Amino acid sequence: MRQSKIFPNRASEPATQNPLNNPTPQNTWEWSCLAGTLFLYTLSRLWMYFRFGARAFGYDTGIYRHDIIGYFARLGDTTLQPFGFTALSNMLTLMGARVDTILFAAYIALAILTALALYVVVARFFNRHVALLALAIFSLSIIQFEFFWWYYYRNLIGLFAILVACLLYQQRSYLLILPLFLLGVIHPLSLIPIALTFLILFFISPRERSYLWRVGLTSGLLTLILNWYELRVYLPFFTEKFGLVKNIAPLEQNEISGQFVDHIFFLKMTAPYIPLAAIGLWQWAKKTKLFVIFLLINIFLILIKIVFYRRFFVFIDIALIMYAGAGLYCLLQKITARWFIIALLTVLFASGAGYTTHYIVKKQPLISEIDFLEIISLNALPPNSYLMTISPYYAPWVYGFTNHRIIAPGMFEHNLWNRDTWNIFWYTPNQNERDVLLAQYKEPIYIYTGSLFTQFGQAITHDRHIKRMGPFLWRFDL
Amino acid sequence: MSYCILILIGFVIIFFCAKKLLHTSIFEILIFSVCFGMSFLVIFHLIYFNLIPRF
Repeated sequence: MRQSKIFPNRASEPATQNPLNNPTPQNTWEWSCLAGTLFLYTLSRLWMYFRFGARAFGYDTGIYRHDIIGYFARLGDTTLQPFGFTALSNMLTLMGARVDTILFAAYIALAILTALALYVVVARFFNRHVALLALAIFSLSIIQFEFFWWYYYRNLIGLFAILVACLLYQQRSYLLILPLFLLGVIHPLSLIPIALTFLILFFISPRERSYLWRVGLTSGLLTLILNWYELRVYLPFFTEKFGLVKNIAPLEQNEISGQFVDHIFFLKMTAPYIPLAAIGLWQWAKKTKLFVIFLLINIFLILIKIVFYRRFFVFIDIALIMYAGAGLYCLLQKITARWFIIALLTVLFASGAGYTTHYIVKKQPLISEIDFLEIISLNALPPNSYLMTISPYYAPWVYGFTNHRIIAPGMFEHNLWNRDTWNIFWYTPNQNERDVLLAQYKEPIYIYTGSLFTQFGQAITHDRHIKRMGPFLWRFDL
Repeated sequence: MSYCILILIGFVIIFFCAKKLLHTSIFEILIFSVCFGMSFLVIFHLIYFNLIPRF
């Protein structure tokens, strides 16, 4: 049995350790493969940002921007709803980082580190050559690109922490407490599959029981004590709804599903490497119990449709990529002709790179440049005004990129209306009825329709209380 | 800016000390440093800004 330890010190490992498990490349060829793959991966992650700037990524950009600024402005205010991510963003801001540095530079750097972490984990659990193949598949994965593009920042930190946790578990280090704690605070959802994996290992591996018990207990207590105020907000989802989407109101089910890719898209995009993953699983399952259990747990969580279950497709994809690398390595070992290996890899990765590059280059932001510039220009209005967006489509953008109180359908703290009231507001032919609703706010309201809903602007333009302020902007006065 | 330079210098020193002491790969040291760094920042924040003001 390997001795548990605090620091992941490789010097204490048995000399029988396979030198191929060392993640440091041993020759120029390996260094070139690693550097080249990481370079291409970095380019793919920088592309959208350099092309489209702050509007490059998904809706969550605006929400994170608002939270990073808003929570730091009220640092230490215990009346705020706790949000673990801001513990990190506040500290980075305190150290001098600007909001855009946290939003984009740190996010892209974290994505690169996650790729590196995947490489190291695969090298340690499988071997370095499998790791190089897995990293290449990872950099071509459309699911991973979509995940990055949707801007699931906390989820990305969660993925990184899971990979670090796997690495520390492999070395039986007690520092495993730290990534588990980080998961519990930053993204408790990501903690579920890895915690369940360790729980199953606790039951099926008696030799590791004592180590996992100490780590689990310490990280669990630390998370509960320090982050109880946030965790208790999520508790009703599990105590009253059993954490299942089917127990949530139908109108909220889309949002609570995790708003990521569906199973058809997932299967379509992973189809090229699922057969390789099957071979890898067949060959390596016994030696890599951790990932087999992790994979099965994630599939189970998706099948029962736990809250935000679509996010678990990312973890399934990661496990599939690891085994696909292993499967490809097994196949290549059967081939003796070196020229054939090089030709096969060139064809496989060149075609994959071609498809992924085409996909990334064609990807468009959710918001048009006209709308984004219009939203930025709304900052010229008196600060802290009421700003209404008539559609949730624009809500996260105005929320993050303006300094106003945002009224949006079904979102954020200033919305006073339910769905029925919004329906009246949108569709009533009676202007007075609309004015009565707007008057509930007791202050002037700026109404932003955006380029997509200009027809609504035409409908309200004859209201004597409403005045046109710009191409997509109206002002309501009592 | 000065904070960033200090952090960078500290990071480089820790990085090479850890590399010498732990005989582990340079990539692992990098990954662990970031993960542990984030964890300590979060612990400090939760204690200093969330927990202490409540008592």
